[in-house]
Amino acid sequence: MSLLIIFIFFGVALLGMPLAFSLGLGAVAGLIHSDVDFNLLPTRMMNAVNAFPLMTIPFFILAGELMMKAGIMERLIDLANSVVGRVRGGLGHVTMLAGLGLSTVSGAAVADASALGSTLVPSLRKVYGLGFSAAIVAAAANLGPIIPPSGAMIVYAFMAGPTVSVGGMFMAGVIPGLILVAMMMGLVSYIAIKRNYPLTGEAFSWRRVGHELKRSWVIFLMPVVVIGGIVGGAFTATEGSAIAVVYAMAIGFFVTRTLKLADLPEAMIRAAITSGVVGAMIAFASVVTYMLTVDQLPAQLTALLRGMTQDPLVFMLLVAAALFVVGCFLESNAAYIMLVPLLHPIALLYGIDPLHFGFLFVFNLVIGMLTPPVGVVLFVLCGLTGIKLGALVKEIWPFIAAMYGLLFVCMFFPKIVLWLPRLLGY
Amino acid sequence: MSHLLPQSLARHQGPLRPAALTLAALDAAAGWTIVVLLSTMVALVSIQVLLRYVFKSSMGFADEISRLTFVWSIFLAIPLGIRLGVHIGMELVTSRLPAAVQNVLVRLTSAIAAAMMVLVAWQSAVVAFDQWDEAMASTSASAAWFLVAVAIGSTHSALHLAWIVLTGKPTFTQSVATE
Repeated sequence: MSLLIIFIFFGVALLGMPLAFSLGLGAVAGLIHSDVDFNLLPTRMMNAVNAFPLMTIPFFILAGELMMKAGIMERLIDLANSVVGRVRGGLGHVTMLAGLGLSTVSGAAVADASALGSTLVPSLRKVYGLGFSAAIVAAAANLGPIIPPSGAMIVYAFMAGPTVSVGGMFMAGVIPGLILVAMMMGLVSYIAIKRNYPLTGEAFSWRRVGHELKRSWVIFLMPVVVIGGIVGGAFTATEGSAIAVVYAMAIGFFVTRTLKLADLPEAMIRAAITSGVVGAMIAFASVVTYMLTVDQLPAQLTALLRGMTQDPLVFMLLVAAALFVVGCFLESNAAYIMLVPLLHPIALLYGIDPLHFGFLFVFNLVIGMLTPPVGVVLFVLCGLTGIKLGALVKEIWPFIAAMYGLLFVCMFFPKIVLWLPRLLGY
Repeated sequence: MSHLLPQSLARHQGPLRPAALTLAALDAAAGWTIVVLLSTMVALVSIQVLLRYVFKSSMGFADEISRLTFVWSIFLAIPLGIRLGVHIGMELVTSRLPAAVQNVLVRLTSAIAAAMMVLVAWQSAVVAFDQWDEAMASTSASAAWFLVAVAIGSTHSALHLAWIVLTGKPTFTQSVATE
């Protein structure tokens, strides 16, 4: 039965049917084949999304949308400019730091790519040309799902079940995320010096940094309150994300005063639609997962992998290789929803720390968003700037290589990922 | 909202105009309902935190009702996602095919998906009817309201998919902002 479900899913998905409905069709085929009542379909679908933790998805998206409408981009860029000062590759560093700042209030690479691309590419391209500019923005945008809050980590934690907490996943991404920013800034400097790009920006001054910090501290208070509250146990991830929405509204209405009441319906519907896309996949995938479990596919897969290797590191390398291939063809949310319920329990059997495995899984698929042919962040930048995919890929590969380098370092040295979560009791 | 949900349906001319207007009205109703639902969710969850820390009390129904509004918002948003063409798909093969073949495939896959959504809607209605007398844990309202959301969302989705079958409008693209 499992083979039939997988065959039908891939068959119709390749014909262009959206993945959620392809999963649904696979599930229906499984139900017919095993003579199970169709009643299972709506009840499992409803129960799959009837989950308090999943509400973090629309809430964090909405908070991010409202913060954008509140005009935080301009303040973030001004602060990044003041911190970077006048150096070679300065605008590239500004983009990385703005991406880092943005990622603390938004957990989505696509939204970040759109926000960073529309505000920074016009100035970047005058100094670096379109290709390198788009590559810097794409790389900076990819920090979104690594630095908390992260939509990808929320979906992962939900699909993995009770062994993984959202707070723990958030904390697992902090140190690797900061290392990644440093690595990418180093890369920007290296390329800027090699290509002899001109100096940009104004000379560094503490006074200016202080002034910009005064303007932007309200932005950074949000992750401090929300993520701090979640990690400190003051409230759940869902409650924290709802508070993030209220905070973003307060900033937009009373601090920056650029948010209008009329902006709210559009932002809410946008957040709901994005959540609906993920929710549809989760709903249908829950029926597929149930049918595959009835058919004992997870047990068979576990036996197969355990027969191949007993070494957790080899298993993680195998998963990394599989996710590299998957990331080239499958959108990452679909990959979390379909693969986490299968692979996460196996990782636990290998004795791998759930947060370590979870972070590597997410990071692997986040890198996949920069790799063709299904690199959604690349598509956003191509659409925004008009650059050809090939030209962008030519400039972005050093950043992808740096990310894979960090992925393997994190794989071999779990403390980089686990030090902070452990310190905070996860 | 008109900015988010393009007015192409409302401006549609020809024999399918009544169907287009009906779909546009359903979309607008779903959109405004989502606004109310999401506002309720944010209010319930944040007030619950406020009550816990400031007034040392809580609303017993907050968890269940916020989950109910979430389930409704998800299933009402799925058809709007079809309309905007944001449901994730693989275009690896289809994008390389001639436009005419792509059009046939879009109609074919939409027809199959529409039939499946009709099945989901029907089964949801059957189960909801069976469970109508079961009350929610925290209120006296029927627990079947959770399944009514699935039935309505699936019916609305089937209508959008049927619209694609009739018009051949390819709306399936890959783009999602949660990543």
